[in-house]
Amino acid sequence: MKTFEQENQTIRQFLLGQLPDDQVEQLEDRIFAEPDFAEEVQIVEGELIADQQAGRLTPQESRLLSARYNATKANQFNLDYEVAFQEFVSSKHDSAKETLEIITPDDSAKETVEILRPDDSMKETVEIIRPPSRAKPQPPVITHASFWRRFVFHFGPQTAYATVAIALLFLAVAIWFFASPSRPDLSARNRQAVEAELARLNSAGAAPENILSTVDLDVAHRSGGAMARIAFDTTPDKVFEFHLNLTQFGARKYRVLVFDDQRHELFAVPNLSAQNTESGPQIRLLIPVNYLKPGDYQIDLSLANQSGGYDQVNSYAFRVADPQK
Amino acid sequence: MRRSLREKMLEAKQTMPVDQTASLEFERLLLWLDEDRNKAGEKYEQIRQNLIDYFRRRGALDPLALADEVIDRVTRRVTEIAKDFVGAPSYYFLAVARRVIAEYWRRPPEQDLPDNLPIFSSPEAAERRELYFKSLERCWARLSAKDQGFLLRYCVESPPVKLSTARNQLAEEMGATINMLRVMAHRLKRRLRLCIEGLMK
Repeated sequence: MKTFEQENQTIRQFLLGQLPDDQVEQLEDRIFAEPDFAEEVQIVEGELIADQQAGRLTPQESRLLSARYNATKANQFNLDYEVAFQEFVSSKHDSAKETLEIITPDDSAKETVEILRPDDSMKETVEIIRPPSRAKPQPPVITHASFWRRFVFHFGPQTAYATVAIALLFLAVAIWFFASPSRPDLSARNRQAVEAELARLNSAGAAPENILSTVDLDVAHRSGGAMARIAFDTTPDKVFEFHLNLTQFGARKYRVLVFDDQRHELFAVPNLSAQNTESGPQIRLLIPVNYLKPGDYQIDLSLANQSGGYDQVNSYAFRVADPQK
Repeated sequence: MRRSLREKMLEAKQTMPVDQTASLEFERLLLWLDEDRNKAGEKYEQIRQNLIDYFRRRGALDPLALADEVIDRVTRRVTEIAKDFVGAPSYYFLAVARRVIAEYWRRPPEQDLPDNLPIFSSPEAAERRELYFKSLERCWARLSAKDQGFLLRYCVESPPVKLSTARNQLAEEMGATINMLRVMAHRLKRRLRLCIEGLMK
């Protein structure tokens, strides 16, 4: 007898079209014979879609699911319902949290912060009233002297001072690592992992609430012109959505190469498709915000050719600006 | 369009006496499914849903029409099938469904689908999303506060607590297994979905 995990895995394979025909037939027989099993398959189907929305599927699983669920209207309806439901309950959850956090104002817990919007155009000041449990804690009073005397007494002055020196050195390295503007960038990261994540993101799509901003990019001309600007951000899980405008629609696959201002190739995103929109043909490209530090970037767009290579068709440029500077 | 057993029966009654034969055949179909009329109704709905899911997962463009085609074929021949067929009727429906999907794939395509269907918001998709949200809001209000609270805790992750951890905790609090929670959440979601489909009709 199969365990729950094994059965769950078989159902997932069935839904992704990965089971051999004979096993598919057996599974279908069970669906018609056992109402509980039919319900279980529906549950796993919903979980698969939710997993894809949350980015918990492997790139291959995500591709297979998209291929199935974007192919017919009936499946699209299922997908739309799951996505809408997830967004709906998330919004309900957030509003429920906000309601719970309404508390009696207490001056000691008030804090004023200035919010700077990404487009630099608006500033607003907001007073945050922290709940008592989250009010800034008072720093604890530590009796440094007595602790230090005990430490020196136990380990001797040489060991004690050496320990302090090592701790300070460690602290300095940590500060340098986290505060240095030249933190390891994409070129130093594992490019393969970055590209795998980009492939997954661009095939599965991103939930609307995760899209920080949408940028329409027109073809870059040598004569210059205003460069599209986006605000630097590092919020985890947020993405920039670029719309690369095309002069003509192509049914073949596109590939994007992203370069920094030194013309260093940062990453590639293949298998992108053009979409016909109200503003004309476009390619949608999703990039996590934390992949782009402040600076100028260029995107080279290529179209897959018959021989398996790519022919460059357009270039686009944009700037990531740090609103703090 | 989805037709419930009740609607089908009403339709059959309305068409009498012209379509009296169809109504009688449908009565025989119910009798074949179960002698108890209520159980027969439940079995009919279950089979119909299984057929819709079957055609949908097989990639048919109109699963509802194909499911109804299977039911119609079985209904037309129910008298002779009931005499000889041994086993659960649902197997017979599945066998007919397999024949119908094979015929379906042999038919010339009605329309060519584009290589890549759009995956991002078209105005139509945005409208549909808004409609979903409005309907969800109305249907959500019909759930009890307890059910609402359960769905929120089961479906939404509140970082830094992982969803799986939160679900385990919920199961512990409710004295239930994770699997029971999955089924509960699924049934509540299905209730919402049926409510939405009702509003969208």
